[in-house]
Amino acid sequence: MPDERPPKRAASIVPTLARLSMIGWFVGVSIAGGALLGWWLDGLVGSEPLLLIVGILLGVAVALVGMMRMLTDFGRTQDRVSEDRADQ
Amino acid sequence: MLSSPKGIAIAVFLLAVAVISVLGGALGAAFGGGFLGGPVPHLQVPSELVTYIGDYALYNTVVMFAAAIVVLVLLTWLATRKISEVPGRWQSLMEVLYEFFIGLAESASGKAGRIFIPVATAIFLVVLFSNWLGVLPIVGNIGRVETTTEFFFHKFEGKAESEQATEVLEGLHHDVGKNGEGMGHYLETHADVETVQKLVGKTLETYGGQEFVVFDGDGIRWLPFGRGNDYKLSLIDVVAYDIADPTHPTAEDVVKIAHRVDESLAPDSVPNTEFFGENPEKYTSLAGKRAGILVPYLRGSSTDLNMTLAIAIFAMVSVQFWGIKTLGVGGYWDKFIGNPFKRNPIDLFVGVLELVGEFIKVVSFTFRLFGNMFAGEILLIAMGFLFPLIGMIPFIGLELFVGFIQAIIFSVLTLMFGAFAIMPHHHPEGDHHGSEGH
Repeated sequence: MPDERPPKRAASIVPTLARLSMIGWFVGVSIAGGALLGWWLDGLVGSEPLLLIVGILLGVAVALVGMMRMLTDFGRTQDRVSEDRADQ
Repeated sequence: MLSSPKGIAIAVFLLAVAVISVLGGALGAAFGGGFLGGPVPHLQVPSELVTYIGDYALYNTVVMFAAAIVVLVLLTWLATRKISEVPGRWQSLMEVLYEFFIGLAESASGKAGRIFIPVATAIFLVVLFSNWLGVLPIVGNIGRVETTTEFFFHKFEGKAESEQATEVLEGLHHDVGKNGEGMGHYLETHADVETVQKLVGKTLETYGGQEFVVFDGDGIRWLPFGRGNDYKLSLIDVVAYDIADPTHPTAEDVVKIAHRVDESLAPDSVPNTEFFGENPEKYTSLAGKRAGILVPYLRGSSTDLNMTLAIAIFAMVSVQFWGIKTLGVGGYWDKFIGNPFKRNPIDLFVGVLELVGEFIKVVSFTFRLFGNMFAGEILLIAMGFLFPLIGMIPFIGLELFVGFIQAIIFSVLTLMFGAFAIMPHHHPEGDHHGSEGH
């Protein structure tokens, strides 16, 4: 039954690659999104370039926190894969 | 291979095709060749309107998405028609796929991971088929011709700034059909000449540089081989070529423009000396034809941001749903913010940032798929343009590969985010592992 299936090699390489590429996109989109939001708000309020800078900094913060979270979660699932292997 | 006459013949043939391809394409056009070339296609990020069904606007990417769903339904029907112990070809194909996701889900979250499988597999199949159908040879080259009239009408419609302009546009909407038929007549005969003048000037100022291709044929229009960039005309070339200042037209100019909007490149119009100055015969050969833009009926659905956004939203909503279902609303909330009064401010800030990150993930999903597929489409077009006949072939293979990889990435990431979502917050390892009975 599927329960006893050993983890396949492809099943650990693919998610690793997928996740690493996701981190790249995540960082880019966060910073770009923060910058765009700040720029837009600047246009509304007329406070160039204050909110743009704040937006970029917040974007960097979101990127950093999200990246750390993804990497730690990644570590946790990696651990459980090796635990599962040790169990068998 | 070159030792036998057959081998030599094949090599000579391939070489000839390559030479013809290079000479016939855009590269050869610079040296008097270009007999296979076409004009640089019109590319735009939003999907193109195919037709109206009643009041519903049907876009070309929507057509392709529906086609992908039809193919998918057929395939699953084939795979599940006769389910047996010894699987048939289609059944075993689906089983391989399903087992891949089972393996992945269980290695990430154990038995609890099985809730991800249906959604992840579905996302994989939908994204895969919408990517792959976009590579079919009929996609992007068959369509209707958007004439200068229609283009002018649509751009004109969006230009309201003053009250009078709004009035003119409302009348336009009322009197002129959705395809712009009768646009010229309306402009010519409208009472508020000054406003019409302003609107025409503004439209030409903004969109005057929009390029059109000259098509052959009456009824069914087509592009002959070799009608390259020499046969491209801008909107100003078509409708305002002998007008001194098209952005500030006089009342007489508007009448001229209105006439040409409805009758682009009509036989009786005067040659545009600026454009055809060196080669007046060319104009004579174009007179009576129609300038327009090809609006393809089919376009790969993953090249539409709306489609990728929809799947991204579906994926991330599923992830939140799994998290809440497994941990409960409170437990899941605890992952991000928890009780804001009991946490220290730094944790709280980090939690808020993580919550924002969930939305960023939707956007990254969206742009990753869209970016890869749209870039692929442009790559194929560029290769077909540079090296007709053979240039696309290797890149079609590449596109099939990229489409597959993107589908895998999309579905695997959904599954992985699901796996993260059902992990409780800040608990040391092993706390929740023991309960799953491994």
